[in-house]
Amino acid sequence: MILVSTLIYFEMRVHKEPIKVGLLHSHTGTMALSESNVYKATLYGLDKLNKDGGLLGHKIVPVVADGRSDPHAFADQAQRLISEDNVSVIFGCWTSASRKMVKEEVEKADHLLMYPIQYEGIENSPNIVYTGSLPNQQIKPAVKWALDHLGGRFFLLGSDYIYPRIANTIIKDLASFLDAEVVGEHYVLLGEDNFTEVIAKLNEAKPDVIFNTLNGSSNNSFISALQNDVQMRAHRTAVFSFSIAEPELRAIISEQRGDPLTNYYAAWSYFQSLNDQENKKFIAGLTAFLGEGVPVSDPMVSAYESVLLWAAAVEEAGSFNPRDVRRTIGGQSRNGPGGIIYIDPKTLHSWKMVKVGRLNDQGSFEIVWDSGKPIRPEPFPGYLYRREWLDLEKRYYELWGHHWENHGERRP
Amino acid sequence: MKSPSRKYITREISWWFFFLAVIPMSTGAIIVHINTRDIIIHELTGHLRDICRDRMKRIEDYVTERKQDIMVTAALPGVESALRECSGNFAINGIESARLETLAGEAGVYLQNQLRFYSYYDIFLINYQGDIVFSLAREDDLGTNLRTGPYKDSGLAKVFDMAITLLDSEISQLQYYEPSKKIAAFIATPVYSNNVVSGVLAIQLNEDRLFSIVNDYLGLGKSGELTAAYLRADKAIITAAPLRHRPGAFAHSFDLSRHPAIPIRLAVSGQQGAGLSIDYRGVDVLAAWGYVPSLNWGLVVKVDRSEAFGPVYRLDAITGGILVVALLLVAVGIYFATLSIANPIKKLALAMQRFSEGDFKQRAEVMVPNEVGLLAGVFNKMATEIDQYASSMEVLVARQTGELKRTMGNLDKAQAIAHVGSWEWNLSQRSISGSDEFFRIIGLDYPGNIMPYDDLLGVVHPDDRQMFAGSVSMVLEGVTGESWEHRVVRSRGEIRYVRQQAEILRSGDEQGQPTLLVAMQDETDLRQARRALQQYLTIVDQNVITSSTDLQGDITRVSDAFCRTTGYSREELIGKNHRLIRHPDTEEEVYRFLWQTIGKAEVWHGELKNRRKNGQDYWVDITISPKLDGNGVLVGYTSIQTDITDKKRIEEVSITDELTSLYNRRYFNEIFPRELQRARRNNMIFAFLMLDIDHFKKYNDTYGHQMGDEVLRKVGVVLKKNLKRSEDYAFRLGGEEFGIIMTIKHGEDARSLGGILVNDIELLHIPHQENSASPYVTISCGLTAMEMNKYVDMSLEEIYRRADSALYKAKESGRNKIVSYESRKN
Repeated sequence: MILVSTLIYFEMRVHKEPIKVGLLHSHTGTMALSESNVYKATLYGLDKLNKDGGLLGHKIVPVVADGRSDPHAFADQAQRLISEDNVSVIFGCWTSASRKMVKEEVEKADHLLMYPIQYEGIENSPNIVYTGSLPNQQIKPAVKWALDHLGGRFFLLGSDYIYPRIANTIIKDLASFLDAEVVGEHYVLLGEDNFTEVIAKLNEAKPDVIFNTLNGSSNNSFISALQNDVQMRAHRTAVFSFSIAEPELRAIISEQRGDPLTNYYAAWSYFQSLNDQENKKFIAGLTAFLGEGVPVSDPMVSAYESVLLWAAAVEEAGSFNPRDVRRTIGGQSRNGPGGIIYIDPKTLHSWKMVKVGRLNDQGSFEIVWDSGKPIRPEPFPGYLYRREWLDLEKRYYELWGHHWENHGERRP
Repeated sequence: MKSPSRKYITREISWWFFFLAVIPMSTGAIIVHINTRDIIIHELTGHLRDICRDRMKRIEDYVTERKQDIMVTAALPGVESALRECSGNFAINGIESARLETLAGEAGVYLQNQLRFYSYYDIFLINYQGDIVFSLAREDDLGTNLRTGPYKDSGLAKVFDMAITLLDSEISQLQYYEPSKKIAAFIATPVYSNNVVSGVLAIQLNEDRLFSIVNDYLGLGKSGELTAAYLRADKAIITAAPLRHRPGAFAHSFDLSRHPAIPIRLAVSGQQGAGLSIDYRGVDVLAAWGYVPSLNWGLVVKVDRSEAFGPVYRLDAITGGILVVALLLVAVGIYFATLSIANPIKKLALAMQRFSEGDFKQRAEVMVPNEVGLLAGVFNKMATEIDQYASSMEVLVARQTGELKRTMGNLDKAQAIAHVGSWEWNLSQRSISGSDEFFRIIGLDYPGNIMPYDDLLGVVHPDDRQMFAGSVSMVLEGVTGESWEHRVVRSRGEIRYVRQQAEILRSGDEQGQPTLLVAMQDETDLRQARRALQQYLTIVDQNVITSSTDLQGDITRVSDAFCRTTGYSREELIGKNHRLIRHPDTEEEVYRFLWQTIGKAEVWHGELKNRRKNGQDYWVDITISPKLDGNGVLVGYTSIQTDITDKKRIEEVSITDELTSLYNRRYFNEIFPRELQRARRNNMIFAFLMLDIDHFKKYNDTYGHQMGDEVLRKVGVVLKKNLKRSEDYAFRLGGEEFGIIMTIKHGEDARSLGGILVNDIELLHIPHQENSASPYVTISCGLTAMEMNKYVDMSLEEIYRRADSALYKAKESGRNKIVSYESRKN
């Protein structure tokens, strides 16, 4: 009798229903390459959880959905994950367009999305936890540091979609607050590879710093054009990149001929080159899990942290119900590969450490500025009213024909 | 007399009580303990988490409010102008500017009010370059530059940089500030002039406000404590607020990293959590911890485990009490169970055991009204019956034991007489047991007739030991009835020859081991007798002509002397019929009589003429005895012979006529009555021929005696030649007179023989001029033949007279003829 009850007791402890979580990323289409790494990092986080005994005695099982780089597909898949697969949480999205579609779904179902990518802000959903950086955490330190160390003439270059537009708005405002000068601003369509006009503009404006928010492959064309232009080479104009991940930037730069390029900068919460114990452990673990070495980027670390922060919230709530978890997720903190990350209970954005890195002649980033403590997230930078930010965003959305990027004619 | 059963029953009952009562109760108590403990930990952890969250929120709220306050203040036009003014004055007059105070007048009043209202410690204005151009407290920091001056590493300097970089309100960490000589935290926010940052407004917080949040132990009991700390650049964990348990520690930047303090380590490194842990005092605590991002603090809320677990300990005490009472009850239960069940059973068992040990008068005095009592009653009844039965059995057993003893004694005697000992070996033991004779044979003496098997091996002759052991193992391997011989060496080296005959008894003992049963015969005397006999037999074999045959006369055994005499080898003889050596001269009659005699299992004795391999004759005096088997059935014959050839030869010479080699007159006198007797016995015709050479006297006179002897010899040859049968005898009766005796079946045979003889002699063509009957030598023959039987009584003389009479008639009637006697009546 005792034996039987003991057995039943352990049986109940061991054989608990596995808990399903949704992994919603693009596995096909233009975003597949970027998102697949984030997807792998999420899987690694889940694997770590299961290896440590699961959550509340349950195994965690990922349900993988393909957003196909299409915001509408993201919405459909999110809906399916919530209503059909009954997942407890969704980890996913990359582009703001996809997030905004998924946002409607999770809000409708009062569900939970863990979003690991840096974005423009101007959003504050009670159903989304944002673990990526906001412009105030990434752009503000970069601009001030550039102004103090590189000079006060800024040139803003970006792909024409919502993130660069908002980011550059903030840079322009910062420039004005800091008495710096924006000497040029230029947008190219997503995927643009002709930068002749841009180089001409740059040669005319002669900026001290270029703030680069170009997306994806345009970076290769731009940096190549920059390196091949005699004048630009002579000026050694500094380039501050926000929108492409560290490993990609390093890859692009290493493709270039000639002298080592040391006038490249980036501002992230995480650099793969970080030489601390926590980061080395993380990279080793991820490499072992994937069976191969991969470049590790800030979004991947954020995706990994998302899993563990969600798990901590589940543990504290004692429940997998998204409503219970939302109550406990705010105030969760972790000390991960990128340093301390803390979920702000008011905004559900993350306090993150911020570092400014400079590419050195060994091809790795050296940290030139470090916030030393986590920076508070500001989804709506305080110098404007919330309404004003929302209007600004809406203006672009309508300008692009109800899209979050410019598909048509390039506009100044 | 302690018996195992007496101990077991109480023990078993105790065990069952233990299993059925104590274990479930203890298990229940443990489960209750664990569950209660879990619930209490869970509840308390939740409580501590709530307090932790509450304090974190209060700290954050306080900081956020102060940040917002200062942002509002910074946005006031007066502040911006005051900063511009002070900054301008500082640029002109430097730190010595006496106008600092007065110039701050207008805004100064407002800031002074702020300071008082929010109980700040100090308010600063700092220009874009980092110069502290205004301070209400006017401490040593006033006029210094925060980028380059003595306080460039202070909290104020850091918060200034953050505010101007992030263009936002920022709060510094709480740390020692030299100009104020105390712990301080600063909040800074940018000040804009025409939308461009012109400097920073900073306040120095009164740390009491923060401490009042941290040092609020409401709801934390006696041992509850909040610990706030931050991680210094050198990795030291420094307390950020006074400690309840170390009142004096805070003032000396108490380094928690030198103490166990696990929760605070986790908290300052950004981790959040709750659970059982150990605090900086090394005390076990239940704690919840978290991270305060704006201050970069770790915050720990904890209660000493001893206090937190108070309810658990109380519950444990109650459960323990119940358990002790329950144990006492179990003990009482065991006592009563022992009284009502175990003791009667023990009594009964004891009685039964004594009974089984032979005390048939034993009865169980158990008077309990349950099944044990019933059992005891049944036992007593049974015991009485068994007792009676046993008494009658005893008599029987005594009688049979006596018989058995007698039988055993007889067996021992029999063994002694037969020199047969016996021993047996149960293979589960190392010892063997043997009979008295067995020990007598091996010449050893063991008490109880038990000896180790190895000692038996010891007395076996060393050369035989291997064979002995091999034979034993062969028996054990299943070759039953194995027999082997070996030598035993007795003391003083005396050697005995013994034969072992072993069998295996498979049924075995209770261990299932087989028993080896061995009969052992001392064959030493037998052996010596046998050897003597063998020697004797050899002598006999060498010197006595003996042979054995089966019933058909086929030779089965011959002696060396027999082989030597016959000239045949043993191999040539064995299996052949005894006829091989028979001499053709020997009368059939002899053999017939011989076979008749021995066929009736009687001894036959006689003389026989045999023939050697090389054709030589020899004579034996032979005794043939019947050979009988154990049941008296005739199986063959044995002959013992003596070579009497020499004797025979002398005998032959004495009965032979030297000249003609026919039998002489002396032998005729011997044979004549014998043959007549034989014919009478066998109802045969007895014939007697008398022959006489015609005119032999004249021949001698004419041709001389020499030639006369020659004629006699030639006549002898013819006679001999024509007498084929061994029963016919030819004699030289004297001078020229011959006689022939025949015992025949047909009278004509004698007549024709006589005719042939007459004819053959004449055909010799020996010239005889004086013969009246022929030119050659002739003979005349007189014959008498008559059938003989037991009724015919005719004397020898009458027969001889009749033959002589017939011969006379032949002479008378012309010679060279045969004349048969005819009675006058005929």
